[in-house]
Amino acid sequence: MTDAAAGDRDAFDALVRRHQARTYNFVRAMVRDEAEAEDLTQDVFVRVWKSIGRFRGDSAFSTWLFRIAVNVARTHLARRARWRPFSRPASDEAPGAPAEAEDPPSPERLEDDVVRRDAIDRALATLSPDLREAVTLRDVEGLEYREIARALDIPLGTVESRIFRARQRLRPLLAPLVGRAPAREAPAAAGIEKEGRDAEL
Amino acid sequence: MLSCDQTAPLLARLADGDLGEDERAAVAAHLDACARCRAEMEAQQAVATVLGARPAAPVPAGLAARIAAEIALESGWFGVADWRGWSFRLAPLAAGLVLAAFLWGGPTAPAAESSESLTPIVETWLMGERDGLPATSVFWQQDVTADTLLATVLRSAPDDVLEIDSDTEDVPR
Repeated sequence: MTDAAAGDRDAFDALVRRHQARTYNFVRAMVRDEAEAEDLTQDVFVRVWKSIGRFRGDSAFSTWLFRIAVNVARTHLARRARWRPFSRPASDEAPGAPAEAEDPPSPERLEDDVVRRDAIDRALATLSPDLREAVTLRDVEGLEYREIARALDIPLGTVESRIFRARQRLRPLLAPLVGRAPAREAPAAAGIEKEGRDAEL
Repeated sequence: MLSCDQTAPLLARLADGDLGEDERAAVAAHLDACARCRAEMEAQQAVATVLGARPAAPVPAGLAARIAAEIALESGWFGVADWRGWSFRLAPLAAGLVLAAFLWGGPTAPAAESSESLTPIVETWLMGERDGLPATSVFWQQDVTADTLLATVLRSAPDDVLEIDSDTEDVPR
């Protein structure tokens, strides 16, 4: 981390390899589009590279990284909201749009990872970006409440409230998945390199 | 005892096991007496469980390499546009050049050099005139007064100037 901050490209590349999966997963859940998520993840790490000298270590590196990822995703979603009405018909991702508008997948199909992830992401996409980023950071990425407060730069009480309301709104949409989820592993699912926070700094 | 409104925001954290001892005891006391809040907490846990088991999106192949290439591009050719980087690195060179100019040139040099330094400008102007470009472009490009330019032109190549003037200038007669 220190070497990367000093401009060591090899150290930074190692940092990218370590955090790319988690960052991509978060951005993918936020924007629900593979190609956009890939571009945005790239954008996140370019920004990290440009500003890593300003990382003071007040929080875990992953929290700081998520803060940048949140900002990149927010900017993208705002831009998309401005342009999408002109480029294609209103999609199910518009805030407040009912996810029930699409036929829910059959129980058998929910066993499939891709279908289950898509069902969850479709439900997340009905939330406003504020609620979506809070509940995604908590339940998908497994950040602690205080880390989320730092990443979003909001008070702890606001984090509590957003996560509570997000789950309330998701409940009817995710009802077909309740009781069908595999046993919970680490907060971020398999394939994601969840590093020890102490080792980061 | 806490009310339902006071309890609600804490239910998410209770469901996540994130509450401190005092808060947990206060919320637990409310839940013992409130079936609605108990149901809400179970719903919070259920949603958290589903989201927590969301299959991770597989990382696109070669993403790290593309990020590395993008950063190399930013740090390399296009990094030149980042003045914060190169201006800092070139600061010692700039300081050296200023010092060298002061030691070798001194404060009296500019007056003696002014006509010499205009020679390339005049050449540019003459070439521009042959191509039909207006002489004002020279004034626009360089901070040169009319008097100094004319004096330098006459001193450098008066015949050329006169010949070009008669050929190209569209002056009402």
